[in-house]
Amino acid sequence: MDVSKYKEMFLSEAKENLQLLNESLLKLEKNPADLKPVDEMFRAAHSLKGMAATMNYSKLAGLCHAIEDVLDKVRKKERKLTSEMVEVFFECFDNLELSLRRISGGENEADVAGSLSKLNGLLSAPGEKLVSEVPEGARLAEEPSSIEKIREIKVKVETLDTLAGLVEELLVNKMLLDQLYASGKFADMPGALDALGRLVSDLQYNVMQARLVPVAQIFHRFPRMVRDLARRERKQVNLVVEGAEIELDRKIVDKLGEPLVHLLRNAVDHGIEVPKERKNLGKPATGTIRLVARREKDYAIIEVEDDGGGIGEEKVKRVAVEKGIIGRKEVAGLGYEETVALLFDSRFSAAERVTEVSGRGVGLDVVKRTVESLGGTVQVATELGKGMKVTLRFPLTLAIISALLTKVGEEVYAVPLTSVVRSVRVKGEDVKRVVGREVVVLSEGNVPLLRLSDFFSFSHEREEGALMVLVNRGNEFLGLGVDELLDKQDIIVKPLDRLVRQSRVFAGFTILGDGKPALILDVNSLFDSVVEEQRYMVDSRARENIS
Amino acid sequence: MEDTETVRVLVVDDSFFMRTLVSDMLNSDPDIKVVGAAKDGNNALEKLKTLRPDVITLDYLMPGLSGLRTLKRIMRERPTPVIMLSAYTEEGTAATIECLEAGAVDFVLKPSGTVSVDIEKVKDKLTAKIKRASKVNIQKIKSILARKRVKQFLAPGVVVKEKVFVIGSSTGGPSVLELILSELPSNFPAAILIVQHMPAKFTNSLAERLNRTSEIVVKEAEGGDVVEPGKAYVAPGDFHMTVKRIMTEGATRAIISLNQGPPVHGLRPSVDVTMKSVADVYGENAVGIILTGMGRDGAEGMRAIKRRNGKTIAQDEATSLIYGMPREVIEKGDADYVFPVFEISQGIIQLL
Repeated sequence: MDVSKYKEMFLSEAKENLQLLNESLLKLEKNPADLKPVDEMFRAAHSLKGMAATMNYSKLAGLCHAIEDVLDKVRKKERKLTSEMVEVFFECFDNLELSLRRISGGENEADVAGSLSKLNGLLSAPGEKLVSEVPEGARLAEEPSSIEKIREIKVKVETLDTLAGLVEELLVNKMLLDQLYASGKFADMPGALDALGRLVSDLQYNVMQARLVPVAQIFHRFPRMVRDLARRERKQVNLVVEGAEIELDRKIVDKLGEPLVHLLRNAVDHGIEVPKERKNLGKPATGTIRLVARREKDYAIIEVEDDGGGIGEEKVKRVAVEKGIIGRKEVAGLGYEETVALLFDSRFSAAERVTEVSGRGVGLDVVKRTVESLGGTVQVATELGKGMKVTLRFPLTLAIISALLTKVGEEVYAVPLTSVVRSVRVKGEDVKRVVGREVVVLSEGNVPLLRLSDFFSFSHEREEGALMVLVNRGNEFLGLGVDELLDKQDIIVKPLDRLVRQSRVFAGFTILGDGKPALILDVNSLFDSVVEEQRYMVDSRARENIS
Repeated sequence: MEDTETVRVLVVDDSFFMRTLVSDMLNSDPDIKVVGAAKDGNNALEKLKTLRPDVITLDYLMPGLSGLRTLKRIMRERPTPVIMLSAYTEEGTAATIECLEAGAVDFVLKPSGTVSVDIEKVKDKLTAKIKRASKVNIQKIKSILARKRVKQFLAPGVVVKEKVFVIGSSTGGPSVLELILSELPSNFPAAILIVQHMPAKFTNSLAERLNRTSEIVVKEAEGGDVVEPGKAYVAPGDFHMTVKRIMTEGATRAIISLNQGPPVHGLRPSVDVTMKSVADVYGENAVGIILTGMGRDGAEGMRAIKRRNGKTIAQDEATSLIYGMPREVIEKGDADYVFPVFEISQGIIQLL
């Protein structure tokens, strides 16, 4: 029986086990009184050992075996967990990882003799301390490239079945089209083409779904990395990870690793102060870094926040001037946001944020570039002495959105369902005029009414009442006056031409089931235009009053 | 069409790698078909209901419901022959013995640790054992498990006997041994030698387990052990066990000795080797007991005991998980008594 064909499967599961080992050990290090992670580690080591032995990776199996032996002693309380032990375990895990990486690259396993003798040392000399060296632990942290590209995605069987089903339908559809064409029944073809369009969009939707991966795939490495970095810097850091289950397109997740490594390293190296300094500042000795992922409407948000020293506005300004990024005069007029935005300048990064340890410039500019290449944005908030928060925003690349289709005049407009609150029919007497703008009183408050027919300057009969789609942006509300509500539908977002895009109130367009295009409203921009219009109105009123 | 001879197997393992590997191994045998795989105990119990496999392979170390607890629930909810996949570790052997006593038919060592394992051999063993297990009447195990232990009783001050009881068993043996020994009273006045076909380490776990579940002392035999009444000695895996008489401290004692002579019937320890030596040393004071198991090991030993005027007991067909070794003895006319498993301890007491 040839086991080599199981190699990929072995590597994939071995990595999972290794991750479990690392995570459990971190848990154990944080709370040595709770020995539950030891059982998990034991099982993971055992499982890995069995697989490695099957694959004839004897060094790997041998190392796992030795790890298992030590764990067994800890589990049975024959040995106490010591910090030396934790250190040796981490080293062994790094060794296992190295082996896996080498096997994956078609090389031989790494040498394990050193790790083995250290493990044996743990067993043979109870209580006796090993020479404790400063761990060279930060190996992982040094190379963002050690965050591996996602090479495989686990897809639910149901998703695959759905895909296969769709492909089958496509084939049937193609045969139907062939037949219609051959028999000259052109009149029947549009129906078949409609069906084809729907199938293709379904297919796209399902493929996109299949490409989603949880950010945990990259997040999982960070606790270990932050720990190693903190130890090297002799700092105490607690990394809190939230929202690891949030799913993003594989492409984004793949590229996200590097910027996050930068940000976390920044937070540890420059953000969090050494324990003594923190105490003097009245902060808890252990600093906290929060890595949070969450979804907000059509965006995925990833935040890295630390409660360290932060950077003062004044210092940013001073350095920016010193480095010639900005003139002395201009800098005076800058607001907070504009000031912190200076941090993204490559010259700034190189100047001020050089790490003492690695001697490498850690650039926020690099982060910005990567994130923007993925269609995202970066925001920084920082306050001297309080810490720093970097927020990454990504559009969910899912090009399919649920939308409410509405009719205005002869045109169909799609309103993204994520912003729709409800639809309301208002009577003429309920529409008031406030400062030249129609306003409807609803339970949400006074809601401006934006008649799309007016907005898009259709010649259109004036009605007193309105059929309104109530949309929101946070706590702001806006009523979009439409003529007809058509349907709720999942539509594919297609980008607009550059020229049309400048109008900004459209997020894109889609092709409807009947082959006609429909524009997709950008609710955010509609809000902006109403706010602007009101400002203009108020201004002109004021001028009228003066004259 | 599935042929009726095809053995339908459910593979239970928390490792995807192992599930795939084991499934591929089994499917490569034309007579075996893997009908499903489960990643943990609860998943297995669910699939058991709908798939109705003939045999289950079960990993002993799983998160959540452990192998042992899964096995116990299988035996309760839908008794099915189970083959344990075990590791050659202290924990692995102990867990395996417990599983064997809880109703698992057999076990196979899976690759683990530094011992290099020939995957081809694992495959051959696994497929052979699965086929054998598929023919087992699981109700037999179930009835042994369900049987209430009937403790035998001996009046205090019973006289120590010169007798020695030598028990040979194979597949299905551990649960039967557990039943028999646990029914013996703490003041049992004779020695017991046990030969159970099993690899090294496992026999130690077996001895420890039997020691815990019975009132007499059970230990894995070591060379030089003095055969004492009230104690049971389990032949260690990979060694033949014999007894000899020697003079020490002015008295004649029977001493256990171990050797790694060539396997007999491909087996080491072999029942025949121990029984023949016991027949030589103890003569009419020897009682041979042959229990469930495949093959014919023990047949010659039982005959040797009978020739020396010792007594012989064979487990009956109805309660033998595998009616191989007892059949050899019974058909050759070498069994003085044929008892169902539940009456063996009583038979032992009567032959004291």
